[in-house]
Amino acid sequence: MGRYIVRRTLFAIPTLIVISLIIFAILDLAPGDPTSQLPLTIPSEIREQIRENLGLNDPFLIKWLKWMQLMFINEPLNMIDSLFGTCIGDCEARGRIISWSSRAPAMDIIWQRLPQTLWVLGIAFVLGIVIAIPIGMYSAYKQYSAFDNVGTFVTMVGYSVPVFFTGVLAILIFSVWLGWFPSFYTTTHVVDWTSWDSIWFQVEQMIMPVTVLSLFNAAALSRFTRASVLDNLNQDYVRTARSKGLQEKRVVITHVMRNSMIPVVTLIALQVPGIFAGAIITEQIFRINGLGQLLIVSIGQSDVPMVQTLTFMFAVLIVVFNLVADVTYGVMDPRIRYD
Amino acid sequence: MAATQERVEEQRGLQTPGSGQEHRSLRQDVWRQFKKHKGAVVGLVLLAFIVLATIFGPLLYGVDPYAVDTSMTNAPPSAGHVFGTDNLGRDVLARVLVGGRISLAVGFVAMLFGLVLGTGIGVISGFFRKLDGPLMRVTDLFLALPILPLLLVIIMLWREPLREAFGEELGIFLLVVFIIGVTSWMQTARVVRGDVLSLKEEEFVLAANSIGTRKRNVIMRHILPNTMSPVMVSAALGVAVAIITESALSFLGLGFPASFPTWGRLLFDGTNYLQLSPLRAIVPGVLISLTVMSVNYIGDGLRDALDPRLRSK
Amino acid sequence: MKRTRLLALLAVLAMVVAACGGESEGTTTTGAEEPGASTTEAPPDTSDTTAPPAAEGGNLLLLQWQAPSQANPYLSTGTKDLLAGSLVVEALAEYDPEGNVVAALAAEVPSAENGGISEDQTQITWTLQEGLLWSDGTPVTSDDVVFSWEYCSDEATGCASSSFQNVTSVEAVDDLTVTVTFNSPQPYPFVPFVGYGSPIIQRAQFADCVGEAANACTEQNFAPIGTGPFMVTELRPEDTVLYAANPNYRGAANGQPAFDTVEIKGGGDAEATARSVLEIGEADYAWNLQVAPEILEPMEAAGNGSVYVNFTSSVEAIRLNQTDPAGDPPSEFQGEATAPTGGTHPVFYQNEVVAQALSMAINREELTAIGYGSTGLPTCTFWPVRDEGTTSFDDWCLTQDIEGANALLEENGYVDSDGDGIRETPDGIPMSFSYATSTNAVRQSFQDLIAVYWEQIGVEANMSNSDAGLFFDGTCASDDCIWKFFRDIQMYTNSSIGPDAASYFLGFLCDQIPTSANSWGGENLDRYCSEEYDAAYAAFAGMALDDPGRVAAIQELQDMVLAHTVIPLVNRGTVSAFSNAIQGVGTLNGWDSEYWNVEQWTRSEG
Repeated sequence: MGRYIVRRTLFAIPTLIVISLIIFAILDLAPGDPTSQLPLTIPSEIREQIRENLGLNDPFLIKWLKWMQLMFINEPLNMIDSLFGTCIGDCEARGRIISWSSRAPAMDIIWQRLPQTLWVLGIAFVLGIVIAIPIGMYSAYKQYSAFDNVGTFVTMVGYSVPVFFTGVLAILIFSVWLGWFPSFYTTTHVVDWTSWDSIWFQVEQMIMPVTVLSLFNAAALSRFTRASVLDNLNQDYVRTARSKGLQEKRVVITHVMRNSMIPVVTLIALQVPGIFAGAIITEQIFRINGLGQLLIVSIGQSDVPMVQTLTFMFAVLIVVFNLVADVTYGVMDPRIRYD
Repeated sequence: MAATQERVEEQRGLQTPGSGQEHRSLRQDVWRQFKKHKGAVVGLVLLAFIVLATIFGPLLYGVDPYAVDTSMTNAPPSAGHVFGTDNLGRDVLARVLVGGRISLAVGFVAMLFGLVLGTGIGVISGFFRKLDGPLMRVTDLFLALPILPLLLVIIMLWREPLREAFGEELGIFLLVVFIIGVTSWMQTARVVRGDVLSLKEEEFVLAANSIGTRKRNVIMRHILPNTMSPVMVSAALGVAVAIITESALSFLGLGFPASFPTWGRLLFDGTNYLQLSPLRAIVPGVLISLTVMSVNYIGDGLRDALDPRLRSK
Repeated sequence: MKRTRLLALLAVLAMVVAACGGESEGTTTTGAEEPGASTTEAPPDTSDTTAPPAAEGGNLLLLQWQAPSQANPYLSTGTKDLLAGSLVVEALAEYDPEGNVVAALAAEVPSAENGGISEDQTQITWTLQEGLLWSDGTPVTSDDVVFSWEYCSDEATGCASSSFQNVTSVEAVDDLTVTVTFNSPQPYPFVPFVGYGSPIIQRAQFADCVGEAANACTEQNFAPIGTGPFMVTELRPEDTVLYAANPNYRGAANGQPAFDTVEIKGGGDAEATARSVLEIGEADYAWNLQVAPEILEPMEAAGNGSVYVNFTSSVEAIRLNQTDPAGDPPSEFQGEATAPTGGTHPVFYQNEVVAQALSMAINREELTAIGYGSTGLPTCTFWPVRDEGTTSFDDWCLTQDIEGANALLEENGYVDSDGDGIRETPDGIPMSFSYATSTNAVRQSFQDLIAVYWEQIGVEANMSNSDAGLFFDGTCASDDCIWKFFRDIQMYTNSSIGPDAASYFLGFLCDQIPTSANSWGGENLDRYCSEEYDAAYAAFAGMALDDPGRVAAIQELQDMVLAHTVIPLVNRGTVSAFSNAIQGVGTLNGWDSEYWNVEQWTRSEG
């Protein structure tokens, strides 16, 4: 088991390096430029100077290597320093990746925003799973029953209607017409767990985005669960278990569910890139200033270091989730481990 | 021996060249099972209707989707304009019908592109052991790429050059189709590879090899036809994904330009007018949803129909 | 089975812990140490300075759909940053909504009478008010003014402000007096240290941030110490800025500012912010509402807020290329500065007939109604400021006259000889032109409409649009940029930086033409060049500010350019929305920060 994990982790590193090269290459070819955001009256010599200062004129390989050093060495060191209060090496003068529009370290801004995205995404994700799995299982168990047909229809609708459509409708209905929930998300709200008001405020502003996202997740997931459970229900071992006289509940929950979960877990992990994509759209609609919104704004401002770092962070998160899925898969399915 | 062989083939739904097809053909079998799935049938009918509507609708309806009429902006539905007009007086239904052509075209072509790519890579990867490793690593790499961020970035960067090279329409069409195709082949490749790996061990393949059939013919005549089931299911789902991705890109303002009434673009333009003229956004939104739903149902039906275990019940 | 449950539980726990843990990190405010969160430290303790409590208190919620990236105006990447900074730092003087100069930190506005402006117009002397304090309690001195100039003029800093372009030196005469010296006589010296792009910053705070070090000074850039009514307590780039009232503000004795805290919240788009203020009533102010009029007007009808419009010099206009984009090299001015030879546009060069006909065919009322509603005014000039905007074109250009345009063209030999619906010039050149603008719904609808108007007078326009990032890209990385003007016609909005005509009309001089040789730098994008204009401009520039002939001179200059180069369409107003509960705003200020008088804003009860 340990060797399996180590092997998988080691493979992740060259993947990330290649991904960083791809991201870097794509962005380096960008025709846009940060000084285009500046007032038109600034003379071109000053613009050229600014561009020089931002390191725009260095050759590609140099830029990539510099960025790699910053991303893979300096930033982790910085993170360790701030987490543990240490000072490794030349901690004052250590270079950071600097955003062009805010002149602040890109990782700091990303770190600041991570909670926003995780609150909404994470809860929607978990909620989606919690809703989807029981529904999927029961649909499969009672295949072609009324529950199944209705359930399938509802999940089909949930899966097919684009998130941005339902999101926009939700805002119209619940914020504008009914006035129940705020139409934007306040990122600076600190949840005081002892105050009911404070908690309710956070809940209020999260209800719409979380509901919209989790319904979408649940729809996709329950269909997969249903398919996976169906596959297993027809297997011989289920017949054997029943003929042994085991309680139906035992058969389903102990045996079928466990085996069905294996591909579902893999699928959940593969859903993650899609969930981040959904986050980008949801954040735009509900004005949650998280990582997705930051990406879009930075692209619009041609803030290349921020876009590079952010895209790379997305890739890291995806790779990490894939890793977790692989390990979980290995834990759940003993056949995989010993290869 | 022969009887066992036939039963095995039947059970696996395999189509060996020259197999006796006296009592029922595979195609009829699949169609019968497909028809049992009510949702899939409805989906097929609905999809056919939508496709026909977008092809022939503009000709039958006769209203110019591009005609600007500033005296009739944001008009409610009327005899001349079945769904009303937008803020420049253009007819909503006409634009939706024409937009459907583009959206569906993007959906199908992008899906085809991804399918060909995915199947090709999957087959090669499964068949040629030496290429398996590197190709699967490439697949993993693509799976780890953050798709939407890269999509956004690529579109922002390459929109202008492509437009200059191929002209406005073709340029952006190629870009969107290419991007969707290139980022959605991985699933198909993995599934096809798995199928090919198990097919390679089948006796009829071994037989073909032993009589010296060239590799290319083995692939084309034996392997490929038998991987059709996962491929077809992928195709159905691929269309759905492509249509949604195109709408999402348009919604973020990065899809087709303003002069192109794709459903996604119409939805994007219409969201700000939801209170003023709701039909303008609701109609394309509903159409996207219906199309995707039909395609998903068809995919479901296909999956059930092509699953030999269900069929032989 | 148990293992699965355990795994699932762990996963959920991990998620919750990450979310909760992350939440607390991101929302601390002053001074706490946490992993890399780029929050700011409050300025040093000022508890020893007592100030009377604000009259009403409460929070002011301002929505800027383009969120500020940082708060140092000298490093701004757009108006959003200038606005964020304007609540905190101030300049010596500011512009009021009419474009007049009004004293802010200075005791009074210098002029020739009070000896503030030297006779040869090369020097201006400012005197600070007495007793001004920074928000950290230290006094403001002329040394800070000198430093502000040093900071911005150091090229390595990457200062975004061009207000010190013509300044050779800034010297402190005494603790409260400063003399600014220009490199040449400046008829309008109110550019450096006037307006929200040119504020006074504190030497003590920014001393180590000059030059290349500017980028590393995140704390200073996020929370500059200023003299304004508020101080930054937290800045999250592209998201929110939080402010608290400045106890050392010079108006504190009068209960200014009325609000305890301010929040600038970014994100979303113009429609969403308009909806928040006007329809839902969730916020107090929304900035820069580029929203279609038929959407904006019903929102206002909800009764929670009102739309404010201020008209300055932003004019959306059609520009006719005076050089030939099909020439070799394209659109490059060739020949002497006084008399262009070759490379001139085969149709538009100094062609008053065509320009007039094209202008007459346009229905400006319709364009304005569709594109801007009440937030735009049809206009016949590109300088509709104060009373300086009248030209001889006013009497005919506001009414669409297709017949008149057709007649004008026919009379002058522009006929359609081959019957294809497109006229040809007397030299046989078909009147078919390339017409580009940026990608934007309103601009595309203008293109659609104008194409139809011109079709009726036998002129064909081949419309195209480019992404705004490329169209307005000052580096001209793509051929679509407006400085290159590689087409016959382009359309966009131009506006002046300040409320004075001199700097704006400078942009039509022959030596201001952008070419490949000067990397497309230069403001004369239309390549207009005329000896007469250059001479008239020189005469105008020499006039004193109170010269009665100044207005006539400006009108004369406008007439020259309008004759064959610029076809103005709509004067676009600055549009913002205020909640009806906010009082004291007055007229919306289009020349300076829209928050210029925020210390006077109050919230009415009920």
